[in-house]
Amino acid sequence: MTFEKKILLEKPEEQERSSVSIMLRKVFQAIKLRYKTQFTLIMGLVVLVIILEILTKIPRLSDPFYSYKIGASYASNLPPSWDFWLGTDTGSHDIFVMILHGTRNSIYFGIGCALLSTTLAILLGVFGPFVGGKADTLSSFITNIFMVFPQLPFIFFIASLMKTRSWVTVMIIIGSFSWPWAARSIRSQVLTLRERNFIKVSKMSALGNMRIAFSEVVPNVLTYILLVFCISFGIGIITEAGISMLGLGDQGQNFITLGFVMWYHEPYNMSPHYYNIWISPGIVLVLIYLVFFVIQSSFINTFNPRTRENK
Amino acid sequence: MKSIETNILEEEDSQTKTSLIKQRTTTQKFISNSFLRLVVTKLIFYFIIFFIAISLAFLIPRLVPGNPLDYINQLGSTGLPPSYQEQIRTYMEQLFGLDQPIWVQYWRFLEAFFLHGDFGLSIDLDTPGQPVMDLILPTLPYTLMVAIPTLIITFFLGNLIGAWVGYNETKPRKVIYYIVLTMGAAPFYWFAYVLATIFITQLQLFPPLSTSVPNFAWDWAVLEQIFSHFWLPLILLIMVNTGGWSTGARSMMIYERGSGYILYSQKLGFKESKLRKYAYRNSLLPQFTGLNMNFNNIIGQTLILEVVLNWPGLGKVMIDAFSINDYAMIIGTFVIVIFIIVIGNFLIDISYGLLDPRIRIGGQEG
Amino acid sequence: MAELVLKVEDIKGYYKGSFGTVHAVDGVTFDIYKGDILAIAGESGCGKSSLAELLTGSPMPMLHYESGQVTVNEIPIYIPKPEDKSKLGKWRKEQEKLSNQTRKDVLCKIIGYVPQSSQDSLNPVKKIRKFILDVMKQRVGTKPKKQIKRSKEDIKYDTLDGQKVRINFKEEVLTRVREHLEKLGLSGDVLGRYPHELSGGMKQRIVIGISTLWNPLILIADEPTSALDVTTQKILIETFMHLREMGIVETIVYISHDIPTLAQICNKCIVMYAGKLVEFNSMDNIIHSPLHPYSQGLIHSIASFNPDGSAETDLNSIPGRPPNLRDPPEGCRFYDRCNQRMDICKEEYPPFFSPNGNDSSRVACWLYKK
Ligand SMILES: Nc1ncnc2c1ncn2[C@@H]1O[C@H](COP(=O)(O)OP(=O)(O)OP(=O)(O)O)[C@@H](O)[C@H]1O
Ligand code: SF4
Ligand SMILES: [Mg+2]
Repeated sequence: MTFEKKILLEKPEEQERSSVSIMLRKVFQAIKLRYKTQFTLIMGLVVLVIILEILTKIPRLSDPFYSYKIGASYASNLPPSWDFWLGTDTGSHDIFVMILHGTRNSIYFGIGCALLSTTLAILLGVFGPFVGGKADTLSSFITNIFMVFPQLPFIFFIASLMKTRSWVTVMIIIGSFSWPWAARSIRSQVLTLRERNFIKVSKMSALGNMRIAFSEVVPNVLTYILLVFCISFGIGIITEAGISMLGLGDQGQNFITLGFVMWYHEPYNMSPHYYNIWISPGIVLVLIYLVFFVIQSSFINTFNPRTRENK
Repeated sequence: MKSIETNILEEEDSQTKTSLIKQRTTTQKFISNSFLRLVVTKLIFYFIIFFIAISLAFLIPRLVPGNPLDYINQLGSTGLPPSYQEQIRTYMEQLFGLDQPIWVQYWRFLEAFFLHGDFGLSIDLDTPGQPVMDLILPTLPYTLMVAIPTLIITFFLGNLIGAWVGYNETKPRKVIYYIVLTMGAAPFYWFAYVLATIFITQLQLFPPLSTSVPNFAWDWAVLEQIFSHFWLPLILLIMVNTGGWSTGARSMMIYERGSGYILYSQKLGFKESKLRKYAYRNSLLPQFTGLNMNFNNIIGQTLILEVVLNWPGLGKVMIDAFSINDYAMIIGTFVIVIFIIVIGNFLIDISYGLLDPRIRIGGQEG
Repeated sequence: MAELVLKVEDIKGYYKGSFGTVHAVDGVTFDIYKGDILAIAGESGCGKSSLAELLTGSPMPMLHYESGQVTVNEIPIYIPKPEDKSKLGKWRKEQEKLSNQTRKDVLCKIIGYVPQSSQDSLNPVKKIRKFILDVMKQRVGTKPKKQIKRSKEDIKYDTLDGQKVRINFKEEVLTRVREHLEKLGLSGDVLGRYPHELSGGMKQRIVIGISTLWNPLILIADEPTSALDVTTQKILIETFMHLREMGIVETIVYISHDIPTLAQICNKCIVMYAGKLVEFNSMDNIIHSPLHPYSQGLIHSIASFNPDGSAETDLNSIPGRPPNLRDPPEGCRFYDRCNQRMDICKEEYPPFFSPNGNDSSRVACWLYKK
């Protein structure tokens, strides 16, 4: 309440000398000020990806399908040791190396998926309410249809229809069917923003729609979009892992994901002697998901100032 | 000056009265009028949605490279007896008009479904030439008996945990909250193996995954066997889905706890317990709108999980159909699943309309 | 001398959270006597609402009592915080207990509180009637029923709107409530509505109505007119005057940054600046001869209250901004914006001076040092 009031108070000065560049700078500053934590977290993630990228370039770790030897014999089905941190499987592959590659690729995959579904969600969730009228009705109707669509089974179905599946097609399939919830929540966020006083005021002062979209809504909706992006990312990697695990993913060996690692070691599932093989990719998935979850909940907190309280 | 103001006062009062008369008539006719209107509008809305969704389920597979109807040509290689092969081929041609343009096929599909509840015949080797509808319907209770309790239990459990943490963020409460969240982060199919290892291999509480679930019968022994398989998918889905609700409920609760009416009620001398009650109730209400999406999600998860945990529901039939490209079966299962989801959404919307007076009848959502 | 009803001694209350500590109320002292209509003026963010919250004894979640005392009708509502850190836990528990007691004994009956955001002060999913019955139940402990079947001993009495009411009887309570709301210009039918079906002004009056149901000694109204249009504002101010005429409340604390409104209804005024009380004076003096440079600036920024009534008023508001309350300066908080500042002002916070020689006007400014 007081926050909005202050925006209202500051408004007139701003308008006088507003040009696109000042507006953009304002938007950027607002984002930088409000989202310090998220910025650090995301930077941390970027660093993690860079580290993974470098690690997987080291010769010893560069090939997940290299069959390691100890002396003359193949190192198959070894328990975790100093040489093989997570042990090896029947094919003498180092599980740790596989997971390293899988993690990196899963993150890339998740980002791709999230990009796609967030774009679709923005198309249907932001522009509809802004243009208003028929476009709004149409976009919300489309969203409603896809809301009742059994997305998960349908993704599996489409994947099973494909004769050859590359990771790109799997990504497109997942990305293009997992957007409805995102569109819906972005939409409701835009609607509440549109209702807020300060936007009404800028409408009254006869600013163009685009101007409003820029200076008032973008900083707020952008946060929300980033939030949706994080959630989509989580959904993306988890769904991909599910598809791959049931053998409907990319089964080529040059882009192995965590789901592929799970599928590849399917015979080990539930085996009491090989926990190292079948449990570890899942744990890594949980960890990745949790990192994104932390980012996501810190975003939620910026929406709800009351959550910032701590005792 | 004073007279003007009293005039305004009176004017507002008369306005109040006229609108109150309207108000009273609507409240009197609440069940008969506005509630009915809500039901009817929602019914029409969801019927249109259902219609478009099944149309998409029919059409999208045909737009994807790799013609889904190729299997007709592969019938010979599936080892199906020739007599069945012939029967299915003629039936399919007649039902879908496979040589016809796509819209004729679509029309025939709609006609068969809406008029006769017919999806076609299965080509599965275990059940060759049987109508798909007869194969799907018996599996339906198995899926629903897992999905619906999951939906209800996770909704209340998750929201209560979240609200409980949000109301008073003490250390022990937070620990429980984070445990719930971490479980929610686990990919459910992988988590299924973990739980199966714990409950079946280690604790031996439930029968092994390889044993099949007997067909339903009104017999105590059979029921007991069915239920011994039933717990694992239920527990798993509850564990995985509780976390999602908790996060939302926690921030809702933190929001409600600091909202005007709680603070004002406090200043009116309300006891802590009553304030908590207010906050709980009002923070649960908006969560209701998420139920639609969650229902869809849980159905999807149940379907996939049935394969992993060998539970004889709709999903098992569905995924089996994927692998042999049993086209009629696939479309049939999708239509049924969409139907369930639509019905679920409809019921959820209706009950939300009953619970929250603020919802505008026939208004837009979002 | 009139009866002293509220005594505020050096009260301090800070917002504490991950954002740091905001010294929102930083030592405020004043008295309210029976029959006063006290204005609390000051620009946005100076801590008016926070002060009002502190006066009720159970401030909102993030606002924490720091030190000082508030005595309501000779009942102290705070326990001074112990110096010793190890005793804090025990103190917190005791304070909690006292707050609960205050809520039961003091609020509504002695202090009626109308929050700043009365637009969302009513439970959105309850009809007004249901909410009021809840309030009754919470205050008395028994639910108002249609009929009482058991013996007479169960009947409980309470004084609503100055009249004895059998609290167990729903109809009796509701009749009284309806009459009370009618006095405030509301038709009794609003009881059957949900808050979202009411206009802003109606909600405001309902909140005022609920807060004054027990005829409290003091009514604290926090910007009751801020969110309303001019006509509704007028009606509300009228309502407040009515409240006094009808003897529902005698003493009112009216918080606003709108000086003209305050001038209309109040007879005393305190001016706050950045968490501190800077001037305490009668309303007339504040308008015609304000003492503190800040009060002067505040009054001069309003055209119609130029003392000599001429048109040449400087409409400029005071340049600059109030200091950051996270880290308030040592000396006078108005130093940066003051046009009469002196060297001492920066070093030391001014104590209260009474230039008129009596206690009825006090000002915290070095200019008045004798
Ligand atoms: N919940 C909060 N958390 C942190 N700081 C707060 C909070 N509420 C208020 N403040 C700060 O405390 C100071 C006093 O706020 P308060 O609401 O008492 O001002 P006010 O005088 O009532 O202003 P207004 O006229 O706008 O109502 C302000 O500087 C504000 O920034
Ligand atoms: S104390 Fe000094 S700085 Fe403060 S108001 Fe008075 S003259 Fe100005
Ligand atoms: Mg205020």
